[in-house]
Amino acid sequence: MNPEHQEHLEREIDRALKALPDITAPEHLLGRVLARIEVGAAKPWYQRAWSDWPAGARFSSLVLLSVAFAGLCYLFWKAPEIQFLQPLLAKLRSLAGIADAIWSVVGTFLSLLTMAFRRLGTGVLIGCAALVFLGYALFLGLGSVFFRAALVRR
Amino acid sequence: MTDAQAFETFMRNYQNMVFSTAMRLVANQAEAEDITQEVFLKAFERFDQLGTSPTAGGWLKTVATNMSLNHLSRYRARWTFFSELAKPGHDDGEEDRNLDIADTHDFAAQMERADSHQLVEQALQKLPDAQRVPLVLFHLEGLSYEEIAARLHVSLGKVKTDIFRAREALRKRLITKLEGEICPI
Repeated sequence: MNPEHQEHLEREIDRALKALPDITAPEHLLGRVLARIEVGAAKPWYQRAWSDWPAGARFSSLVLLSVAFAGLCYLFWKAPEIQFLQPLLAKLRSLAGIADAIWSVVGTFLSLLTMAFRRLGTGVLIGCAALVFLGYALFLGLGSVFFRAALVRR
Repeated sequence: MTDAQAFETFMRNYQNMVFSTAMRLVANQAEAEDITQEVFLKAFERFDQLGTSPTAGGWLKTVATNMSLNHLSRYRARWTFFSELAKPGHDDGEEDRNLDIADTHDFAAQMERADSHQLVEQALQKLPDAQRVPLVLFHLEGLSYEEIAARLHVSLGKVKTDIFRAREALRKRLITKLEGEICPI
């Protein structure tokens, strides 16, 4: 590697690149952007991003959300003592029972899998891992071939 | 002047610069148009500050660069992983490490003789992402090697190697093209 050559090349490339004029943007680009802006402007305020809402609406929504959050927290805290929530709590407990049942089935399935793996032996497991890795590499390779062949502009 | 007219003038003033920044980084017209559109939609959101700001150009360039780099890392990283491994003719730097200084003088002289902007632009667009992006960030965006390494999440050594290879590849492509232009066979 010749340092003098490198320095000279760096200067020349720098000069050539910095001398490049801007590329002219396509004519339709301005129209595209203005059309998108018009579509955005035609939306009512509540369909836009929260940061674009009027200040009053933003303040009110913040207060409302804070009150709602505080109310929910209070409700969860006091729920066991509130009479009319008891049927709902009972329903929630039964749902929790279903979740427990599902979890025990999953647990049994996992322990069965663990037993099966122990019986298979290390060699088979390494083979399976290698197959999975090869499959993934093949997927990446085919994807790259597709990308090169179909999408990349030559 | 209404806001819409003011924004139109603003966009006319800066659209070529933003489009060039995106185009030189992503090297794809459709993607560069999408990025330019997103940059100006962002600019519109804060047009009340940007419209009269003397730093609007810098802001637009920074946003365009960031969006282009995000676009490249989001949509191309996986696909280019394999394609970079065996792309023929893109490792020009390796084979030319013994070049002597006469080659670069020859290159400079030929560059002066031809109307080279279009050729440079074409040669730049044909470089692979891994070479073009750090080259553009170094020479056109003025980033240091360290800043490029941090932005692209690669090692300092890789940045230096990629830029070196990019310069060599660009020089080779330009010499070939200029010779074709000046002395067509």
